[in-house]
Amino acid sequence: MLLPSVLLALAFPAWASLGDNVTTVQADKAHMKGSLRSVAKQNYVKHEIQVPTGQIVREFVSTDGTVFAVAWEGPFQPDMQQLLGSYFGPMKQAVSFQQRHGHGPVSIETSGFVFQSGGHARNFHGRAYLPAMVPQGVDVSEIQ
Amino acid sequence: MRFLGTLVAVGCLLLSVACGGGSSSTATSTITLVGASCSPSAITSSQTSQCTASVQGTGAFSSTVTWTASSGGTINATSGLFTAGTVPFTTQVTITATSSQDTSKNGSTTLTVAAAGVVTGVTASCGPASIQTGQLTTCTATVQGTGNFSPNVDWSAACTSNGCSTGGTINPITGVFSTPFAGTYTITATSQQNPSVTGPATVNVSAGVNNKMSIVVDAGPTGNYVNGSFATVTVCTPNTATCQMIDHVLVDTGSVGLRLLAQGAAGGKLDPTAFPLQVDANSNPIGQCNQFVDGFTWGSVALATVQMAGEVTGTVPGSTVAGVPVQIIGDSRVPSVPSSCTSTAGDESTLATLGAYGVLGMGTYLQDCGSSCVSGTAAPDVYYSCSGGTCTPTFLGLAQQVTNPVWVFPNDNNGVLIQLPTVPSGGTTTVSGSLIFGIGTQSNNGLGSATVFETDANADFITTFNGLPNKCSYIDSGSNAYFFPPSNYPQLVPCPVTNTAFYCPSTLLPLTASNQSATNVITNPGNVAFNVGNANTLFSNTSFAAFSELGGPNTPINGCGTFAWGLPFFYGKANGVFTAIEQQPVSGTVYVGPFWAY
Repeated sequence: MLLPSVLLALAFPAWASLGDNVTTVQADKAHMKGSLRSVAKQNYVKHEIQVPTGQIVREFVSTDGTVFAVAWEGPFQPDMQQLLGSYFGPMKQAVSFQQRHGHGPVSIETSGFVFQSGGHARNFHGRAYLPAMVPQGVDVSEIQ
Repeated sequence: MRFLGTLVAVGCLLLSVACGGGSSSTATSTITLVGASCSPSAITSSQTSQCTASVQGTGAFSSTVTWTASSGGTINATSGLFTAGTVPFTTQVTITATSSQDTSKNGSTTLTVAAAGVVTGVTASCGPASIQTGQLTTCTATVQGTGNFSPNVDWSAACTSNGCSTGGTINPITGVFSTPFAGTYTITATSQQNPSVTGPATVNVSAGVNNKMSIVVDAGPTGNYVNGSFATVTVCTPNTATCQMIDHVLVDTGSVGLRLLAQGAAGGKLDPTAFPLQVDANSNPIGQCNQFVDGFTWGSVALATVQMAGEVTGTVPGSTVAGVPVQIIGDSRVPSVPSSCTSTAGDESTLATLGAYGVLGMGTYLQDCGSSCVSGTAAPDVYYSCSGGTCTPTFLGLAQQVTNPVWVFPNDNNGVLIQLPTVPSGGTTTVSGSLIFGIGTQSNNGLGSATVFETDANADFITTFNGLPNKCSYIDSGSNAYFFPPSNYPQLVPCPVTNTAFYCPSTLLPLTASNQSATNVITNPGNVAFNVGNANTLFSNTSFAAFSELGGPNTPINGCGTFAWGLPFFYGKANGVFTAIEQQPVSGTVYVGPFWAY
């Protein structure tokens, strides 16, 4: 309740990867070179970065500081490795691990990790989250 | 008595007209002035002019007049309509209106009747006099005559030989002619003043180049592709006859630009060395990280002349070099993929990961990236300038970007039509269909009864499924299923373990969704009935490559939900599926790309 509803850039210098603790990733501050806007919700804080090349990426941080979800939209794919962290490799593996070949939007739904990437060139969008870490009372439809 | 007399006097005052006797009206109303005017005031033979009178007077006077004309034609005595006759020279006609109530009162006006001109001849010509089907030629006419003749003509067109079956269409006012049928046409300009005087012109219409090539849906080079439609593309060194034919290039209306896998480690068929590299202002080669939704392809940007069916690309508008910029995936002439590219997604730069020898992107955009790659605060991770063994993001002009090859054809360059047959329930091994270039440019690619759905600036339209609108929806031959959010519909659950990209309902689901133009001008939503089956069951027949009942999940983002109408949508569409390129009009219609139609 101490958080004002909108916090300006310097209030949250950190930018973390999915599953990381937001307070531990100071080194990522400059990575996206974007402007940061943070909004406090009931059970989490949503940090939104506007990347100079047009993408918008959002990270959802629970009250204990864990990044439980990320989302993105824009004309280009975001730095997915930065966003997904340790989940980037498994995500790529899951995409390639299909019985039959083809191309289209990506949807990975496991009990521990959900990844949904859609759209097409010039208009990409998607989200990833860790179901076990989504705070109680938060509907996953808020992750966008 | 006195009392009585007063009463009579008052009564007579009240009824003054009646008390005055039967002739009181002529005695108390007079005509003071009669005026006349005619419009128009100058006409020629057989034209008409309407004359009107203004009558002024006192009392209950009559406004009725009788019309007379001094010469030069006839006038209706009652209505005042003057019809000019034939006069030997320009004549001033006096038109007179005479009061019917008082024939001594009249008013006059002057009307000029010009001598009738005579049309002596009409000559017509059309430029260019020889066109291809679907092209335009503009016809003009010169009318010769004497006196005050009309220079106006009406246009008509007729097929006169060589098998054309209709007269084509000619704008009756502008004289612009086009036709989808080859043959010799006679264009006729007919004098409006004297329709018996005409002038002919001849337009020779040659058949357009062959704009139709076959495509095939099969398991592809890796033997396990599902719902991929493939074309064979010929690429040549610009300005030479040195060409290579590459088969099994994925037909993709969801991306833009031709991308071909290089020989060697990438596992492709193309020898890259035949194609000059696209370079920046410092002569450094351009590399590209092309972003698909499910992965990237890394390689060079090189220049090639692209040939498909009878179509051959020219020079990209705005470019000074020959050839179309294409991507050569796995081209070893550029350094290995930079980390800013590998961090975006998985790598699809090999045959094993791409599943095809290339991608033929023919979507609604002119270039793959557009203005976002031309300028801005930071160059996106798309085009790279490569030198000293490293590549760094760079801006790149529109004419240097990987370009929709269809747009660079001299004709048939406003879009494509894809026709594929019906695929039976349960799937089949292979089907073949057609890729037709151009929309409304030849006899085989007219919109016909197809419904047009316009897209927004993001190349999306609106698809509503189970009551939920998806505003970032699109039609895409390069997606291999119906990909849409489950939208709370029962049984739309992803398959477990291996086929997680697809739905695995326990029974075949008959579904309906409705498509709507992004600009909301289509009043009749395009309802589409489709079926989604169990992907695990469908795939159990490993020899099948074409499935009309394949569906899969997609992002459920509020406000930008996506229903991707993949290749199953194309199967069995009676009109085929049209993809129209941005800014390109369809001749003879009101439509301008970008749009889809089916």
